[in-house]
Amino acid sequence: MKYRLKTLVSIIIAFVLAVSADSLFAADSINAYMGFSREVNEALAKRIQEKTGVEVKNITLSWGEIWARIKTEAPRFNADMVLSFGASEAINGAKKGYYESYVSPAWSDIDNAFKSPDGTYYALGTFSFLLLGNKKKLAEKGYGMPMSYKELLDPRWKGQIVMPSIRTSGTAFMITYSFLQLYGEKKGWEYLEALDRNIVFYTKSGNAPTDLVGRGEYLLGLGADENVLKRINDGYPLAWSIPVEGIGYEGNYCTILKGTKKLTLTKKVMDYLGSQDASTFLASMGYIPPRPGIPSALYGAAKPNFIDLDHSWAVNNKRKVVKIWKSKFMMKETAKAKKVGDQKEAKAASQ
Amino acid sequence: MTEVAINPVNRGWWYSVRAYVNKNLVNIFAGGLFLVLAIFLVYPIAAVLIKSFWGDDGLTFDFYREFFTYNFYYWSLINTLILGLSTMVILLVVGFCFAYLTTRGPEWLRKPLKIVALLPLAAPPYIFSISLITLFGRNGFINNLFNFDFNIYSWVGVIAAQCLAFLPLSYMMIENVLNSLNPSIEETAADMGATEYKIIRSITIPLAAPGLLKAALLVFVMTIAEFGNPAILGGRTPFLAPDTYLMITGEGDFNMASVLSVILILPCVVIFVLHNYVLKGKGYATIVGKATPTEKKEIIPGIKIPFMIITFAVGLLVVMSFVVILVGSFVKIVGVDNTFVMDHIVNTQSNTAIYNSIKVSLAAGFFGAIVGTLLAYVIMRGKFFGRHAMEMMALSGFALPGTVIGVGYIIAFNNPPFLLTGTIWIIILNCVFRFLAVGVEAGISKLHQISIEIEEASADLGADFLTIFFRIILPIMFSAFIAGFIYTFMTTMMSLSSVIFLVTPGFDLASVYIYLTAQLGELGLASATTVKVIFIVAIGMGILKIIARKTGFDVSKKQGA
Repeated sequence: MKYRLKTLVSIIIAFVLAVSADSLFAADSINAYMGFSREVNEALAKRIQEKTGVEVKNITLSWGEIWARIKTEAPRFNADMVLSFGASEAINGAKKGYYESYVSPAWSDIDNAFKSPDGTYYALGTFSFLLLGNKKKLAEKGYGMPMSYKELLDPRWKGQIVMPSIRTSGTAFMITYSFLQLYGEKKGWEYLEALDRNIVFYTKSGNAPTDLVGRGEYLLGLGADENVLKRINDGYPLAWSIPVEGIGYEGNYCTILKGTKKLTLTKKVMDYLGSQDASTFLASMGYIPPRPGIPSALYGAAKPNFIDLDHSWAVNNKRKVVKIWKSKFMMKETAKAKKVGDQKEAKAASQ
Repeated sequence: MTEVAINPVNRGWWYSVRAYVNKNLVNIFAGGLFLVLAIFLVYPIAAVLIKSFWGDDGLTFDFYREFFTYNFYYWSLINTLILGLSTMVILLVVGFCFAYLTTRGPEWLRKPLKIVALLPLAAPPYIFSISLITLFGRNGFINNLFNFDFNIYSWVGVIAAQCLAFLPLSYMMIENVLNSLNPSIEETAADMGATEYKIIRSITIPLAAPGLLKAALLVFVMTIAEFGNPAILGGRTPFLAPDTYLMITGEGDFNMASVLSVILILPCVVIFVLHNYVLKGKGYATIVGKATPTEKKEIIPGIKIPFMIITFAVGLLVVMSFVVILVGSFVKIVGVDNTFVMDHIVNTQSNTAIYNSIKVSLAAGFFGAIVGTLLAYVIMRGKFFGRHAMEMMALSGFALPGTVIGVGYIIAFNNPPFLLTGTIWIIILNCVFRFLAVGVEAGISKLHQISIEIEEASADLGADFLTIFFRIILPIMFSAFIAGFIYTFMTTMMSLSSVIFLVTPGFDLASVYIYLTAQLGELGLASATTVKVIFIVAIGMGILKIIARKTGFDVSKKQGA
């Protein structure tokens, strides 16, 4: 009888150990919240492991999701690093003291635009949004690829354009403030409202439009440029264009989260990200890398036509922009609702 | 124990402990189980409830006010109810058609129809979003074939996916009811000249009404709680379950997420109470003489044909869904480039996710079965106050929406003393307690069959509690243990709505991976991962069927992923 009891107990203990084994004996590995596209995340993690020997266990999240996680987990983060989120997350998080400051020697000769002076965050190059179209379906309908944003307002695109939702996607935020700065705030919102009439729905991720348009679900999309090259090579009938007004851009910021137990490993990874190899790799995926002189596989050596953006305005006004966006495109704001919302906003701002 | 035996003082102490334990073991177990249930089931739900009333400044109704002032929130409630009601109505009709044909229809049709109606059990509910996109998407097989321009990311898509996903639930319950009706009444009516329409209208349906109502309520609860389909196909329409997820993952707003959760719980609680108390034991027993087998009556064409059209159309959709998932996992880009590739099947990230899922599911199954068996034993054999409360608690995990338990777990276990977020244990525990109900029910039904006298007899002969437990109870309950194990294993494999809140870096689960890829539009990977999950679940179902045949307890009568 005792023997049976002991067997049972030892089976349970063995089970518990077996299940926890991975986390107990994982040697050189770090956990990272990764905000590139899913495929880039997997490829970059693999590359980092090849070059540094550090295994990057990752989870693919949209930028808004990473920020929500960090905010709720602070100060006990469930990850050691963030590999890519937006400027507003990087800067606001640094203000709140979420990140470890590490001045990496590997980044010393990189332009200051790509790093913070105290080493709390680094930008892994930039990405943009593009106008995407399905070549095959457009040809079937006899439509050409629109050349300017104004053309997107044509009623013939009704129910045919997808773009990401600002609630979760960093790309969506970039798209929104690009329009606000291109046309000015008032005109910008008017443009987005007009565009909304043609939008079929807003996706969770900035990369979803690439697949939805590529698969022919919708004719046009505004989405991140991250997966575009890969999808075209995969054989999707995908066309992309830079409208005459230009496109927005934003850095892919990475940070080491404060309180990590794997500081040496994370520093090693951060050093690698500043290397020539990392820049070459990112450029080959279609990004514009932090180190100069490496042509992006998507845009070539020439810089694409960027909209003149004031990123610090975007960082400081993120909450406001998100709130206005929600009130316009997600929920109708009655006078009473506005009052409730304003109170909540005021309280959040005062914290 | 040799050491103890040498020392007489120690022995005395040990014996008194043993004697005490022996006498009160059921109560000790009960205490422990109460504690465990309180921590892992009641506390998270309470945490959600508190969070919905408790802002930074203390007690407040602001969040509820916000819910009812912003149209986005209250529309998500209205949409959710509309979704539940429409799925319920459609499934009542479709389920009735299936059940009528499999119980009264032509012999050759019964078996295949039954298999088709139960087929969705082997797959997670959200596969139907993937298959519907592949079939009815703008570039899907059907749209391309007939040149439709149909948008699947819409109401129609969500309702269709939900109907297919919960067809087995509705079918099984209605079939059960129709089977239990005594055929002689219908036959008598027919002999006296009533038409079959009249029989269905005035005999079959009225007699089956309480059962139909129960089926409808269960379908309603399951539909409104389901997360995957509305999240993938919802488009611009807000629904409560996916919005709860977005509130947390997108905006980190735990208060509003809690409010949405509480609102989603309310209909579930109402229906749970209705189901278990108001409708309990309701149903008509048909008292007639001994049922004599009579020759089978042919259904008249006026009924047979419309019923067959409905069942064939739905059945075809179910079968095609499985086919396109299988096809989709082997072609390069579904609908765009249909060349045969193995890329999706061999994708390492997807296989890691499968491996993780199996690991979590095994652990959840193992612990779920232990806790379930113990609970069943304690509830049946214990004589303490609060047994019913305990049973209710254990069964509540089944009735509560997964998103709510998921939200509860991140709120409850993000701080010491129960700091569990970021570990795999939070996922395992979550699944153990969500899917406890079936293990408990299997155990209870098993113990009903066995008289307590065997245990008492061995106790009289001097066996202490542990001996009785290992020599008598465990062997008796072993089949219930295995049933609980496999059921929990299967549902954990497929479960999405609560674990999606809990996954951490480097620990993708198959279901979350499917959701993520499907939602990004990468249907190939989503399909391939689904095929693997279906394969694993099908093995589990096979084993369960064998157990059911051997022991008479049919676990497949329960569903909920």
